[in-house]
Amino acid sequence: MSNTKTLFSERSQRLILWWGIGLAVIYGVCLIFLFDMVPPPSAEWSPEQVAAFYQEHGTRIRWGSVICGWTSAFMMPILAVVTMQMARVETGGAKIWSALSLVSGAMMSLFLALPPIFWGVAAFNADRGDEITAMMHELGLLTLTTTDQYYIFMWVGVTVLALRPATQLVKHNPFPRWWGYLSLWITVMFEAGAFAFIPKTGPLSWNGLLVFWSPLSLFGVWITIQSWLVFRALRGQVADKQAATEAETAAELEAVLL
Amino acid sequence: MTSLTSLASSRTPADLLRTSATAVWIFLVVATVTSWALGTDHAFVDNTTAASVVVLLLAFVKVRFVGLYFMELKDAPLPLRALIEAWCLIVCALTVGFFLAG
Amino acid sequence: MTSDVIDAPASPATAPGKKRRIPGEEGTWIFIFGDMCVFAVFFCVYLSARMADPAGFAHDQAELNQNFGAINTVLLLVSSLLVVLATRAVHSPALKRHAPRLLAGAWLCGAGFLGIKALEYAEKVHHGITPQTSDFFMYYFVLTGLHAFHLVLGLAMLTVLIRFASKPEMSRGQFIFFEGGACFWHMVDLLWLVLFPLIFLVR
Repeated sequence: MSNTKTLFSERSQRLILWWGIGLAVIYGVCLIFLFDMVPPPSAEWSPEQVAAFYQEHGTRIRWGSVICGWTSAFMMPILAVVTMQMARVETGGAKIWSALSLVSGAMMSLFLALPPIFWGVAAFNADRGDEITAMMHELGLLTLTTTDQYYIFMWVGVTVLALRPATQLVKHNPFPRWWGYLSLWITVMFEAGAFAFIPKTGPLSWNGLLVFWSPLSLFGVWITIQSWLVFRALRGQVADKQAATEAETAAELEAVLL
Repeated sequence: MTSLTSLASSRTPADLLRTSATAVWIFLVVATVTSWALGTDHAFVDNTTAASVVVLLLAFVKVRFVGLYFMELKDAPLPLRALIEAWCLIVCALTVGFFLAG
Repeated sequence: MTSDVIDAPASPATAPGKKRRIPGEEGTWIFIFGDMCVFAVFFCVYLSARMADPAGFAHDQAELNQNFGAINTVLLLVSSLLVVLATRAVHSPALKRHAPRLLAGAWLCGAGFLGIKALEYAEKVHHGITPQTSDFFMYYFVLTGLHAFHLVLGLAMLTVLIRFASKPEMSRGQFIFFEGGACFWHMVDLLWLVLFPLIFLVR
């Protein structure tokens, strides 16, 4: 059996993408129900309030950190598959935009993994000085909201490839042009995150519209649509391969019979 | 905007101005000056709330004109045209509603 | 970016008669309406914050200089008209050479807007007013800043359009992109048409 006939690559990509999606869902559920970070507590809380929060919910938060220890790198499998698909359509020369997206996928996993660790540390010894617990809590939230750059590199890569005319010539391409525009818009919307260092209330605070709600929901929207596009493209790629294999077998059979 | 095909025969730069967008633009400038007068101490309406509502309504009329004539959504497929009309209507209703409630 | 399906040569008669067509690409409209919806949410958030503290908002609003806002509105309207004229010009072989100059004029109006905005911010900071001063000024800086950010993106877009318009021949894909870019610029204008009355005028 020749390499072109095996569906190992397509099947693996599908499996790994589902793996990433599963981890992402668990991470989201932890963020909402175990850490109580959707929405995050007000940035105006006093250290005493923060410490009381961790003393009261300590066990739950530490179990959240345990589960996130297993799940928080969910962007690595997702981006591994997405960049394989990017490399497939990035024709002609070095696959530089795919590489850029792959490294940002790996790096953003780091900044998604750190906040649950920080919150877990805050809860680990919540009876210590209030100020110290409050600092760990703030470190966690600011790490989550202000590390935009890693997401933006990935989306710029996706945008460039989706808007490149040559990409649209590749069959079963999971990056249609409209997707380029949507990714570009999400990139622009994400830029606001870093402002969370400045205000404590309003749309640019860490629980605000531009820093928390829009990045969180757009991140979810992006993963959902991109996964759907990749699954759809993979179905087409599998069908193409199967059709080619059948044609080849038929030709071989015909050659034998004649 | 008049159909772009007629432009193929245009010769002078003045032909560029022969479009409904120019008339719309004059309206937009007049409306801006009116809003400015209504919203500053040059007010010719005593009731500031009424003046403010007029200013807001005028703003969304201007938005609609920009959408229809500058972005050329007037001749866009109906879903897209409906989108701009709906945005104007809904956002106008929301802002005026919020303003009057405040 | 040549020899692609999307970059096939332009057909001169793009719009036969009254046929309905999408200006630009579908994707541009995702971007434009996405932005417009975000700003719509902000209009409501701003007004609901104003409901919580009407006296404070009225007091702070009196510190704004409406004339800056009004001049900026006119600048953006002029630039939008110039972009409309440039879009018409690139469709006419005889007038195409005017398009880069019209777009450059639009670009200068946009830059003028930013200049006046910088002057306005500087005046505020000089009087000790920052986003931390009050809720009103926080919204003032965030909303006008977000708009100014879009304007900077728009200026970058206009630069691309000037490059396209300066080419001896534009491809079909470039024509479509040109229309989309023009619409983005109109959106920057359109958002300001609401922001100016909302923040500066409505009392």
